[in-house]
Amino acid sequence: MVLVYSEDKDITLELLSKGSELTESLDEELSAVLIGEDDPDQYIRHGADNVFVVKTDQETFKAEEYSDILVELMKEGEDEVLLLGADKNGQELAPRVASKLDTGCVSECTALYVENEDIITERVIYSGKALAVERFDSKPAVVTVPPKLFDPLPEDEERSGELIEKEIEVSPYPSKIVDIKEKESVGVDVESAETIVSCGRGFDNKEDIEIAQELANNFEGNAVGCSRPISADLNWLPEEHWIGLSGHKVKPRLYIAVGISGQIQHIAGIRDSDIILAINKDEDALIFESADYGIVGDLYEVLPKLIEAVKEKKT
Amino acid sequence: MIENMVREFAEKEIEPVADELDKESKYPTEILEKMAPLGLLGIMIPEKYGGAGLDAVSFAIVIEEISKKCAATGVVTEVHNSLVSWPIIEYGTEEQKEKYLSILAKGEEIGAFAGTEPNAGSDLGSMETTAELDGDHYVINGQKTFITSGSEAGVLIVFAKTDKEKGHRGISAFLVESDMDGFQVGDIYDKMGINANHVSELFFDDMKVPKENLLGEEGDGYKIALSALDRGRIGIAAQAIGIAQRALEESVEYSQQREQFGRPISKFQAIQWKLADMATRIEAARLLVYRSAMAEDKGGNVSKYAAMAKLFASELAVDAANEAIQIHGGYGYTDEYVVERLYRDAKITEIYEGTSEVQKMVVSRDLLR
Amino acid sequence: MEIIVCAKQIVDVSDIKIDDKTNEPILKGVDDKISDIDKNAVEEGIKIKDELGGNLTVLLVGPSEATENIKELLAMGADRAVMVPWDGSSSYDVVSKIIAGAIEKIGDHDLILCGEASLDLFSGQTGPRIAALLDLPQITYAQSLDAEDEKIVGHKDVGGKVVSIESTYPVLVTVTKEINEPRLPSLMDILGASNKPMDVWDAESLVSDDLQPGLETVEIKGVPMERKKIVFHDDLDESIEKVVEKLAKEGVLG
Repeated sequence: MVLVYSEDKDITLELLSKGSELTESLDEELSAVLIGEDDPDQYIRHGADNVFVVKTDQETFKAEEYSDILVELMKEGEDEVLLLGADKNGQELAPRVASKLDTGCVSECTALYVENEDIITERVIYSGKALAVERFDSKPAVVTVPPKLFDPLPEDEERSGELIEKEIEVSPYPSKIVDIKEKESVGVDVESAETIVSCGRGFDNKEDIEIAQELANNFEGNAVGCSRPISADLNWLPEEHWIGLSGHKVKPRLYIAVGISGQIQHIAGIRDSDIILAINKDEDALIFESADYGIVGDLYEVLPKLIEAVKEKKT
Repeated sequence: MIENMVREFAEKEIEPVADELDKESKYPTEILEKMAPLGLLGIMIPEKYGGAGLDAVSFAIVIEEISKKCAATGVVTEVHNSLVSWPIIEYGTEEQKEKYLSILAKGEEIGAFAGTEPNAGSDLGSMETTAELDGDHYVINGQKTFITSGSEAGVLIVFAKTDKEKGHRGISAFLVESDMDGFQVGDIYDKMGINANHVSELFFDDMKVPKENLLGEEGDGYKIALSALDRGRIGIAAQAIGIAQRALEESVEYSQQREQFGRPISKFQAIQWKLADMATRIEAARLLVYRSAMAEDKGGNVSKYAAMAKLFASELAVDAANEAIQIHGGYGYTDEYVVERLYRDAKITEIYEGTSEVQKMVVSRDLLR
Repeated sequence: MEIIVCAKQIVDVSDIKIDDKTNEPILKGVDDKISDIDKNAVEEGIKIKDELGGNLTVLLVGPSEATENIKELLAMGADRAVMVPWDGSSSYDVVSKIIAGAIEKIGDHDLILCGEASLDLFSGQTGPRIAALLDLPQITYAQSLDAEDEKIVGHKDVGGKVVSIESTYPVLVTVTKEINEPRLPSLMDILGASNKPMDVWDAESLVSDDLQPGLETVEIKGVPMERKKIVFHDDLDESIEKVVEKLAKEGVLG
């Protein structure tokens, strides 16, 4: 069996799409796991052969209890693959489950396929400089898949499948979620933006990020991004804007890096951009190494002129 | 591990500001404040006075790593640790050590070494500054020039003649505090390079220095100065290697990026040979520096090896910076690339703490003894 | 408070180049170091120890040369080190079993700290795996921690929400880079590090299972990052004009 689980519905649908491809090669069934309340039939309509609907006391996602639930579900040892979402929850769940099942695990795969009946994965290592191709020698193959890597299958109203209700009691752990604070959402989605103007330490103060926004406004589907220090250290922009290895990974058509030095962790987040333009006053800045075009100059001089030039060109 | 620590420190705290310090001729006060808690201002000072109690090899490693990012900060650190701290460690009384070494190790005051005069550079014997004993203090009159950190230092070793008749045997060394009456800072020089190091004139006008601040005995000054300079030269050689190493690293990087005739210039043998020569000479110079530092640590002819190391390393620094600019072409001649600063900074290493010619004198004197 | 910090020695990723001919990463001659985020874990451990008292042990499973790099963690302020030389499979399942075995041998542990992931492979598996093997609660990706004598609260960012998780001890916590700025050891600390105890344990003695890796690496290949690298540094107006021209040609201005 190929099992698919994420507590994020959208990711689950994407996992089902990849899962159905695997089940075809492996000649297996595809099962979705639903923990808590939601409509299980939608998973059937999106490719699942059946859905485990798990009833449990645990109200919200917590890695310890949820991994025990998944382990309990898989205790027969017949399963070939467990696909989980590579969001923060999935990332802490996957290795815990894999460890309890004494099996291998690949996080954030970029490709997943069957070759000579083996499960093969690819993932990016060395901050994006290399790709590791790995083969599972253990069962089940636990793999986390980044959001939006695969498109969900189109909904098929005709599909039918079995809903299997499971009641799984797990003993609680001595840890508990004591608070969940919604961060003020800014509604920015850098991961799907077409053009990103990204700010780094070259900016002198928070207010000046306006200038970056002004440049971005000239493009359809734009977003303002930033490097780690702007978000994590200075808190000038919320985390939604943060691009890099441990922030968001982006793939716009045009990425404009303004006053960003180009640390390798930042580069890892922008590798998939089509065109990268870098603006930095330091000619030696690493960012120029990873850019298609570069302008050496003070961003406070460059940006206003660039905004004018872009406006002019577009009219 | 010392190397890693200092390298990380220099990358984080020195590199980002080095250009600004150079362009604006700003003394590296803030860097020095950050160096103190890491023990970098008391490298060889014994632990009981708050230092790290390390050896000369460690000292050389520290100076090289700092100089790689800012040669001016390198020389300030070198003078503080070797020319000033070392003589106190070696010749100071227990009281002097307790008082001054702990101040220096903690970086509460920066040290300066006041030997050179307008008419007495390497020829210390013709020094004109005098010190006369008057009851419980000495009265010092005279003038010093080209004093590294002269305008910034709080603790200085000042050399003056206690006996004008005896030539260099009449020189004595004094521990002077910059707030003593009669201490005056003159002009700060505009220099070609190492701009962040403030080098100044000093004037002493009936400066009263307590008797107990005499370092060693009367007449020990010349011996103290020469032995301090031996240790100092190890540091200057390390500084020169730092400059050369940076020149090499910048050249390697640039030559791989810069494309001409459709390929990176690093693919041309003319460039490859330059890089190979630089790297080989740097390694040789580093071994010479370690050789002289080991002579210091384990016993041996420090004067000779330190002179050899400084001679070789300083000429290398000038050549390496020169070649680095050549490799960078027109861009290297502009202040957009650091090699321009390296070139300006390198030259002084052939001059201060004894010119190359003086180093050759020292080496040949040892050979022809 | 008995604190154990797990550290990993990695290659300095920024130094890795890809061989043009074989398309493989060149690891020879690349410096190794303690993974950066593990130093954040050590720093956090030191802070908690300074506040609540106790002992801090650093634990490293990896190449035997790593003893040099561990000393850096002792210099930062760890009290002792345990080194388990291991040049067998670096598969996470294998390594985490050895680490868990070593933790059991160390004995008392209230707080186990790890970096969220190592900078070379960035999988983030080791922390949760150790927690699973020792059957401990886990707080992952902590961006800040409030440690008290009886409990610890970790705050993490999960998709636009700040989630706070509380646990009693023993617990395993993984931290992110944002949690603190690791200190640089002073020369005095570095000297002192040589006098701190370092135990070297044999990996086989720590694990009863067979250490068959669940994953086999088939191949590691370079990912070419071909960028045009056309940098304008002459007159600003001219540079901007040229860049806009180029962008228009690339069709990304629309």
